[in-house]
Amino acid sequence: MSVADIVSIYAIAAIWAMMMLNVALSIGGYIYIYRCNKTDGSIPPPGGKYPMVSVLVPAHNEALVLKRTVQALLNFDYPKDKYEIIVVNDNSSDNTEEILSELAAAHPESRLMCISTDKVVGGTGKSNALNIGFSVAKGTVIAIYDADNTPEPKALRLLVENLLVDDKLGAVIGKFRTRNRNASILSRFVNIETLSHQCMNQAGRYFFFKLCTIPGTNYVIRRSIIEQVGGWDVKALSEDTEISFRIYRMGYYIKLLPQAVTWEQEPHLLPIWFKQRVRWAKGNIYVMLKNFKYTFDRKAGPMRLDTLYYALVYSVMLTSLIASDFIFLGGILGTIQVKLGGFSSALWGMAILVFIANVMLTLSLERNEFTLESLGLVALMLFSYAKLWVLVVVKAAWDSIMDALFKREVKWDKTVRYVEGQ
Amino acid sequence: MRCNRLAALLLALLLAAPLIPAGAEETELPVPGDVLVVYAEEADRKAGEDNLSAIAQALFSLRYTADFVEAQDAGAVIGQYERVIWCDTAVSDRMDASVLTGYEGMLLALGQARGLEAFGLTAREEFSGSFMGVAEYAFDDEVSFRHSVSVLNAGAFDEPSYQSGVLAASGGQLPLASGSGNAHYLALQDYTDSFSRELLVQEIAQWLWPYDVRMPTYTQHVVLDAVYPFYDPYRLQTLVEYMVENRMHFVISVMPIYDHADYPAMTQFCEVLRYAQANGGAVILHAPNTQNSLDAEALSRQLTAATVNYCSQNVYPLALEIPSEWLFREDLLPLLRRYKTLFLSELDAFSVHAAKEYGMKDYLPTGIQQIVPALKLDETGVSHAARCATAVYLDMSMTEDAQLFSVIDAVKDAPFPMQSLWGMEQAVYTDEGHSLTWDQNTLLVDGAQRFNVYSPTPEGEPFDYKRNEYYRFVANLKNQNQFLIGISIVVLVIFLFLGAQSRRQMHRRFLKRGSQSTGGDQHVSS
Repeated sequence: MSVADIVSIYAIAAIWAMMMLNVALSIGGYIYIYRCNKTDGSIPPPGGKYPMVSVLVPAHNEALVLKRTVQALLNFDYPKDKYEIIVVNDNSSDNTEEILSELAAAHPESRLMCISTDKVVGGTGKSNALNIGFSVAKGTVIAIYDADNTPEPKALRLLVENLLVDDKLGAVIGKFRTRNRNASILSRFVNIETLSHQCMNQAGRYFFFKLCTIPGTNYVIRRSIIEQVGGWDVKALSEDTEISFRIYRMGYYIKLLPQAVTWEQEPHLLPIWFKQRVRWAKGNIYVMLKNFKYTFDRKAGPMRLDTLYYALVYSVMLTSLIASDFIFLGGILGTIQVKLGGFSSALWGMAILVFIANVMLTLSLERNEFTLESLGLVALMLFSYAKLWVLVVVKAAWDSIMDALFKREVKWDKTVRYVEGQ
Repeated sequence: MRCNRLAALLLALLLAAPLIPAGAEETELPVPGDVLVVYAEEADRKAGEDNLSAIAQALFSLRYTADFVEAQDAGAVIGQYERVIWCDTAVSDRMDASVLTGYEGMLLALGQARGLEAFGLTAREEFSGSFMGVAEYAFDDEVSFRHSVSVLNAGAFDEPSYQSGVLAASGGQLPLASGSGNAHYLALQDYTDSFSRELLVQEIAQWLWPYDVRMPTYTQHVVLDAVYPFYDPYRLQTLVEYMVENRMHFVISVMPIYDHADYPAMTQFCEVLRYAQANGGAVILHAPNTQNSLDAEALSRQLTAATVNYCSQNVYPLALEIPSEWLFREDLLPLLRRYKTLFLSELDAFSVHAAKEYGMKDYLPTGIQQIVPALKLDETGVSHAARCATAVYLDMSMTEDAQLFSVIDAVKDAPFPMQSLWGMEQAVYTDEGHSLTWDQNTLLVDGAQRFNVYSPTPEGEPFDYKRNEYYRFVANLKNQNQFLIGISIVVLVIFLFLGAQSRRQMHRRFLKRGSQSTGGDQHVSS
């Protein structure tokens, strides 16, 4: 048996194992979302007493999108006297501050606060901006929204209502959708990926293990937890994942509420998308390395599954995809010959079918997404967009190694926004 | 500042480098070979080329180097050589012997005797022209050989100081080989058959032998050639036992084995080899079969693996058997120099073309023993010249037992010493620092002492070939394949069912809410 044969077996086994894991998560996620869709998600608190909520919005050069975001936040159907909006204008060089001043003047009845930082105290990333915003927040519940979000009016209310139901709930996260899905074929891909791999995966993990990872926006968290953990980790590029793991370790769990929806602007150009995803992957690698030790710690509870899952994705999944791509390319070029009998091309076809069906199942739960056009896009995605993930992780791993070797300061690369058509 | 000056100086030197005249470079002049072979640019080219190739092979066998030059160009270089072979064997092209005027070195004339009167050699009237004759020659004291030969304008020395053999033709007789002073003459025109080639080796050795005493005779090895482990071990054992009983020294050239050195066929084979090498025999490694182009690194890896595998079975390949073309490959020479003794399976690569292209240089440094294939004078294939170490190769796959035994008997009865490879120093070095040395009766493998003794191996457990493991594995993969396809079908059915459910739910919600939007879609922009 040649090296190519052994590598092939490894790739096939790993890819199928990971795919079956995702199939299981999809089925669990489907059941959970299906059940959720039977209700509107609302659980009014006893006596209608809503807690004070501080909505934190970190914003660094977000002038292009921020106005729309603040207007959406002002439009929450949450009691107006029970929430404040704190926009952290984080060392922006554009006219973010001016826009915020105009908004505050236009809505004197609202509790809209703008904190502007300079390069001395700010400009070092989202975690730092959140910590600054948190330092002036008055709410017992903290809500986080990215500056490009337009949450639905009921989103905050639903999140808070669900948080109050169980004291063991540390945070409640909502669903996010792609606002600009028709901007380019890339944003169409991102829209499908957001629904299938992010939302469905979260729902599946919640259904089976009561595990969710905070997605960075559209979530509420107890103030007491932020105080206990000492704020967000300023070294983490994926501050959301990082704080999720700390919440788990404190014994809380995190709930997904798909009825609480926010719409956000996703990258519509490849360079912007690539930069954003590398940042996410670097953040996840950091969190994985920081928390992998808990995989073998029984006291860590169900989060062990998450650390294991992350480790599998960034090692087994990555290497198996690289191996399979190399073998595929080598086979075409005639430089690699796999002489292994036993596996048929029907299996390869089945893997593609399962992948497509898996994604389509997710889309079937959304309005206007389960279409023939989507079917074609999913098939195209498999051979284009999905392949980019390998490049993203390889680049992130390389950057992480270089950062560690040369003790480079971790930089927050802000996602570039653009003006959408109304 | 100093750095700047130094940089400027270096830059100036670099810029000036192309201006330095090429003539300033030291040119290395080629070192002349031991012998200059002068020949005619003849019309009957093929026969002439074959003669020259025979000369090249004879000189190589005797480990002399040579240069080849046409007669018309010989005048300019002949003075640089102490030994000249004057090959005048062409019918259509007469060589101008005036280039030899004043030459005082050693001369060996082949073929026509015309124009060599200055050396005391005179063409005989009765041998004028081209015709067939019979040559009779005794390579040793015991057996005299007769052979039909072609003759062209032959002659004889007026006052020979040496003569050997007889050439009879046209009712007259001449010495087949003769000498007078520094000159030597062979009366044959064609040197392409075994008899003539053997004669050529014998007489070149005689011509070059500087002493009055008799020339030494060299050993002749009988080699069971290209023996594979899958050959019948009992047949090999029979041959080995026959030679052991006759107190012969012999060689077994084994094919390299890279894998499965623990298979019963291999261990049984090595059992016979261990018995042979402990009783007068020696094992050498046959060159790997290379169907594609030769690759030095691959060959080195193969030889290493084979040597290690045999040594692990206490079989010690003391030398390497190679085809002659390997000697013309510069990249293989470092590999060959890792061996103290090299057997050449043939000399085909020593054509006159190769000699002209690559030069008849000294391929192997002093200290490496080369053993060339014996020229077959009769059906036994045994050499009678013994002017260099030779090998009589027996092909076990082709030859019947009776033939094998007759050759073995012929070698046994030949009047030459039979020296064992264990009687000489041996050394083999392979990749990864592996070594096998035999020096002063001490055998070292990778520096650890081993002993060349034989003790029968007790019969062990039946060997598990694990032959079906791969097939079982593949069968298992097929099962896994079917299983995964089955799982996929189940998953697809489940997905289909769930998809239908969600569409139903979506439809119900749509009916319930009428045309009211769920709120989110209003954000979708195109």
